[in-house]
Amino acid sequence: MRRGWRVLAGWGAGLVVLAAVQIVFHPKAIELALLGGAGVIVIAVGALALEGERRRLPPAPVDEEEAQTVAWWSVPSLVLAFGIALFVLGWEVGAWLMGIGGGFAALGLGGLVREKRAERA
Amino acid sequence: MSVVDAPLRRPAPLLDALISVDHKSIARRMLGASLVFFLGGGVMALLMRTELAQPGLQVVSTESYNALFTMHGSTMIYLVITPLSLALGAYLVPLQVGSASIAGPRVALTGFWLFIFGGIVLEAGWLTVGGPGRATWIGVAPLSELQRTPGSGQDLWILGVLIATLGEWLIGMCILATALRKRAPGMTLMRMPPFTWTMIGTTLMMIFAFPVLVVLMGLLFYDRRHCCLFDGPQGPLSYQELFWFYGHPVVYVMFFPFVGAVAEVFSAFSGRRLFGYTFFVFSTALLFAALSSSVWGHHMFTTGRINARYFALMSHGIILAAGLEYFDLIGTLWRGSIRFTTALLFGVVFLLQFLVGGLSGVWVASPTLDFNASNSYVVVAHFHYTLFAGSVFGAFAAIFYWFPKWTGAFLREGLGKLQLAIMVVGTNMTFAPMFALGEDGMTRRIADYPRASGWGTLNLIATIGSYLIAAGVLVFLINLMVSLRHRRPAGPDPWEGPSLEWATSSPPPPHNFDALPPIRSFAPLMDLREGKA
Repeated sequence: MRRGWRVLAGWGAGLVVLAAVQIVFHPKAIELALLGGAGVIVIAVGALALEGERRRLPPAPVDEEEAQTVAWWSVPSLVLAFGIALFVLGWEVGAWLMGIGGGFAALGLGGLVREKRAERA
Repeated sequence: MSVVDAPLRRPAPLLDALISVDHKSIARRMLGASLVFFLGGGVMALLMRTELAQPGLQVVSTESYNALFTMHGSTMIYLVITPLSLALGAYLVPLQVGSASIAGPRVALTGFWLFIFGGIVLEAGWLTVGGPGRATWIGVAPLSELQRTPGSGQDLWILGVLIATLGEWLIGMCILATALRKRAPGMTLMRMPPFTWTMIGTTLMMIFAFPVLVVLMGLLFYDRRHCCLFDGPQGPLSYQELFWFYGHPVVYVMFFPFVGAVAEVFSAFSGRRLFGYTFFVFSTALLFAALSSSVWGHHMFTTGRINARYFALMSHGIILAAGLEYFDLIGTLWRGSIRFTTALLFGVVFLLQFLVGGLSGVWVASPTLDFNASNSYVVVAHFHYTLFAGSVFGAFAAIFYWFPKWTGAFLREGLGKLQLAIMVVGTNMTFAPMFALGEDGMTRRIADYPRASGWGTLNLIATIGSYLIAAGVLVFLINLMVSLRHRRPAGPDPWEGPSLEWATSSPPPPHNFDALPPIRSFAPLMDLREGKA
């Protein structure tokens, strides 16, 4: 277990406590919601991390640890970023650019899925 | 020893620069891009200071001045200091926790390119007919609404901030996941180096703060096109509440990593482990970050519509965490075998100058005093002492310390010390007079001031100081060129550093480590040298 979730959950709980202090000062709803909501979100991310850690297999003994390989490059990552940027820019320029951007983004996402599958295989 | 296999093939250099998912390559590119944007933002600052050197309009028009201060602030915050912090984290966190790669390397690469595209979109406003965004770096509503800031420059500003911030958020999440999930065997949470902990504090704030800005920029764009989201008496207040919920944490996103970097520098050059490590982790990385997330309202004291007592209390609470940070850093130097390298000197100056920024922060954190200082040059002086005199000096400490690791060569110490001396004089000549100007009533964001105000001399001093800063940056660029052309090779561990990045070659291989030393504390290399491992 990596136990990284404890950092997330603990820190999120800290934010909730700081948000709760506001109650003494009769806060506005938006102020309470922003900080309290942020705390709850971080706790939720911590819960997701805990679930992720539970699902992981226990690490192999150190000297028998499997060698890790490092991915070198990823064209789809660049294509995805380009697609997102064009899509957002399309809000200003026009729907046609949003279409092109969306297409690039879909292409990039598809490529990333393919890369991930190839890596697992 | 845990062993990591070397990968089989490597792309050509040009392709490597575009699509490599190696965290070190991504970080190097991000550092380079930040430097380019820094030079651009610096030129904008020089233009503004030149205009302000004397009363009257000599260099730029009022409209151009509005564009300059908006784009200077936006460039420095969205495209320089935030990505610089993240670049340091992307390069160093995987190395410091003994990982072969960053978590989600493809996501990090996507984030990097979004940051680049966002930067291009934001700066593209300069090429539009009406010029770039002119509604301040916070895009404040209702000033940023279509009828008040017409033209596509402001639209590009909004979309550029949205895209760049999304990219930065993705990179931040990769760094956080690396620290929490990809640690080497033996690297427990309380054995992570101080820099990694400050990156955790940084990225924890990013989890919620950056998405708020991304959504807010989307809403602002919608408001410009379809009207009325931020209209009425509550609209601008709602905009400010949401903006500052991002805007205050981001100040610490731009600060924490450099505290961590200076902690590493002090430790290496005093030959001592970080003093009060546990306090540092809980106060600086966690408590400081939590408090920083709960003080956004102090930017709105003068609206009279926020919970001033709560936000003042929380803002003053930061003194506690900051005090512990200073105590730890000074305690590390205390009785150490200090080597006065450029990195250490930049770190010491960072600590001293940030103190000025921090203490003037107490002033603007008090509602009654803030009513006097708000919207004056006192505020400009305060945040430049934190972000320039603080963070940028911390960044140079980090650059001089880790440059041998990144490139395998030393930066020239003599040129570094010359740069430091020029920049210290320039920084204080530029920003210290602004406290006096603000106290005397000079409002921020004005292109001109009356001759009878008597502000000419102090403004002239500030302008001369800004050119000295530029000279200091020029010395750094010369140092960079000289050091890369005529390399003085650095070994794997030229400074006798405390943490794992010094356990591998300089620069590290693509898979980071051939072998890892035993990890029994937050300073495993010091353990190794002292025979404790």
